[in-house]
Amino acid sequence: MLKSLKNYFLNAPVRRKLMVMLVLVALSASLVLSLVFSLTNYNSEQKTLARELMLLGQIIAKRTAPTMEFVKTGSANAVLKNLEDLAEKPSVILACVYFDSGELLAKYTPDEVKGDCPEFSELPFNYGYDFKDSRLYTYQSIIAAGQLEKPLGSLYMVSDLREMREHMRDIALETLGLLFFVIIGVYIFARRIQGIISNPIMKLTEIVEKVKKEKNYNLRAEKSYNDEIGTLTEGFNGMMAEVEERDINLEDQVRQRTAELENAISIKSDFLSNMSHEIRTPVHQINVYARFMNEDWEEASEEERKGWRRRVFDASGRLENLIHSLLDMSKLGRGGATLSLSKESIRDMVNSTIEGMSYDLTKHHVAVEINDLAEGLEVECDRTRILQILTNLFANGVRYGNGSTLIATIKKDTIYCKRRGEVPALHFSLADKGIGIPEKELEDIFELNFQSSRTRTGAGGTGIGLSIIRDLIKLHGGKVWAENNPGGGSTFHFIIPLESDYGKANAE
Amino acid sequence: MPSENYANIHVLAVDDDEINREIAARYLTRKLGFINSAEADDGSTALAYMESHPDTDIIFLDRMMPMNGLEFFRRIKDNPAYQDKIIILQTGKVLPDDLAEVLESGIIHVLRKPYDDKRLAQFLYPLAEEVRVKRELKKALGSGSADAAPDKVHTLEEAQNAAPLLAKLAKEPAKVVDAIYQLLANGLEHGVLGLSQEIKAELHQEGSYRETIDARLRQAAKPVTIKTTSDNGETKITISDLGKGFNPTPHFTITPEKLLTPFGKHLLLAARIFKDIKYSDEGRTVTVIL
Repeated sequence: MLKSLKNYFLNAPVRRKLMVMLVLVALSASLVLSLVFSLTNYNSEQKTLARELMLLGQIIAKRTAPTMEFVKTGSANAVLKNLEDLAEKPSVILACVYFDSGELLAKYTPDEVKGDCPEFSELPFNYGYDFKDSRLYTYQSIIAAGQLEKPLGSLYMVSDLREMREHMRDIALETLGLLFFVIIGVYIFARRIQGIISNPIMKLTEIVEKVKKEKNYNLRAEKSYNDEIGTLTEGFNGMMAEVEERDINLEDQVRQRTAELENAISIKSDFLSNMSHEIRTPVHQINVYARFMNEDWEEASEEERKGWRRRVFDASGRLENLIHSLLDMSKLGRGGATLSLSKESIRDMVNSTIEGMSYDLTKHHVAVEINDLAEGLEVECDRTRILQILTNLFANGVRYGNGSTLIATIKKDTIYCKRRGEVPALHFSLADKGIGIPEKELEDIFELNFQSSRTRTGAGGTGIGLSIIRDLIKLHGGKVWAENNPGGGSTFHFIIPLESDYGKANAE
Repeated sequence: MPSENYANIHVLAVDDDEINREIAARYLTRKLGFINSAEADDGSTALAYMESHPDTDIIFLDRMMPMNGLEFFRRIKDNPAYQDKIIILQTGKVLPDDLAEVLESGIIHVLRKPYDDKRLAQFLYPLAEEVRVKRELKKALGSGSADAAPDKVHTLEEAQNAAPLLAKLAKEPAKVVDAIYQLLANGLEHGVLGLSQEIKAELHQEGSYRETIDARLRQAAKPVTIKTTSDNGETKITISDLGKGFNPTPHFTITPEKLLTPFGKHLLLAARIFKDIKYSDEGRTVTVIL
């Protein structure tokens, strides 16, 4: 019972808690006050009553004294008459007059009470009063005028406390009535002032509930006063602002990431679709020419047969290159490509490339001019990879150069590298006088899957060669770019440091 | 295969890729038997070729070239001299968006790459047959025969003879003669024989479509009937067959999917040529106003 009451209180709304507390405090204070008031009252009532009865006893004693002086014995009637006046005071329930010798002279008791006078020797004291067992006992000597040393006898009276009790009850009722009004007053007052504390809390709670329900983080609570609740409200608003900001940032981030992902997915799927087309073409050609060889071999001329073999050979070579590129790309994409570095002469690598491409160059009547401005320049690089890059650039030159002479330029330059700052570098460029690159595509041609409009017009090319070049040059710590020549055609440049940082940066 | 029926049809293959061109040329001459086959390596070369060879019948066009196929078509489509050229676009891109672009350009024949000689024959022979018939009809119109038009035809050959006679009822016979023949042929192929496009493609593959069909038609011995009426200076021709009928409505529109077959596009042209064309009796009877 007490426990559930306590629980109820603890879980009650703040408003009710404050009310209960205020009212309880007021009530207890009033009760204590009333109690103190009652006790003091009781005491003084007792004193008043005792004094009153003592006075009454004195009056009786005084009136009785002359009678007792003159009539020693047998004149009890006169004394009794005196005593019977006590009927006026109903609270007196017994009055006894003793001679000094201890003999009982007269006794008074109201009709409804039948009391007996105790033996004189049993009386507890010879002057004064005493409250005992809800009775007031008074005792006083009866003395003749001027004969203080020789009392005539004693008057013993017993009163009940009914008068006092009645009086006390009236006081209690008054107190209770007052208490009632006090409580009502306190209640009304408490209702008014608890708002000072509970209203700001209610406002804050309301906003919290709303936020919880609506998930709306731009709501703010209103601050009422500069107290702790005010601080709490401010803190809450601050936290909300932070959450809101974080939400907005998060949404932006999610949107951005999603766009990036979508873009990546679309690049990948475009790439796949391009690649499947690129793969299908040579496969189809191989298939067609193989069929010609199979079905029409007998009737074909020697020249035709040679042509078919060449076609199958070329197409399968293209397919192989394509698959190599794809593997390279997937390696580079996963960061799995490694360089095996050695000091190489750039001139020597360019020569090797041209030698390797002699068939294509002759076939398309393309001449190459080498412009070596840094004779004997050696560069730390992966020879195979640089050859691959050069071959790719030369092949592009043949493909898009319109048969113009390709001009390869080798010179010394510098490049900024993170670890060592500006360092000496090799700058290679290859210029053609062909169809050039549309100005707005110059930035993008190194992107994976970017198909230049010149490629789309049917000039061939897979659009992955340049992206591989870019990744390989990056791996060498260099940069690659393309530009259009004022006189037509385009130039591809790359710069790589003479001393490679590859592997060293990782070691740090 | 190869068929001798279409030897004198003049086909121009345009492709910038040397290998593809070589393959196409070999297919066209050795496998399909087009003797008058020529090659061009892009749109502009093709334009030059057509200037010097106005008798080119079919242009077999790659889409992706320096002057791409669609651009080439844009250049020739408004030239009256090239109105009856048949343009076939070959492309590997047959996604709905790509085809929609082709459809918009006005090209109505698309051959999906890669193709082999069999698919090439199934696509090219029906169009070559069109060219061949067109030539015959033109010749017949020129001969000035004054015979009355027959009231029924049993074979494609009879239809080919009847069409010019019916066309003479119109003010401009040359304009309507092909369309009249196609309506008669429709009645014979679909009404009498109930051929589907797939079967037509199969029959075309051998390059002797006309002979095969006429043999079957003679066996079936069910004619397509022709009725001509003249009213207020308007001439009506009503052509009826006794076949299963068909729903003609979809045949009056062209869709991206239809680009990919050489068949089913005659009604599209007929609707442009005749003053009015109406199907009745669940597609078994067609009435045109010349």
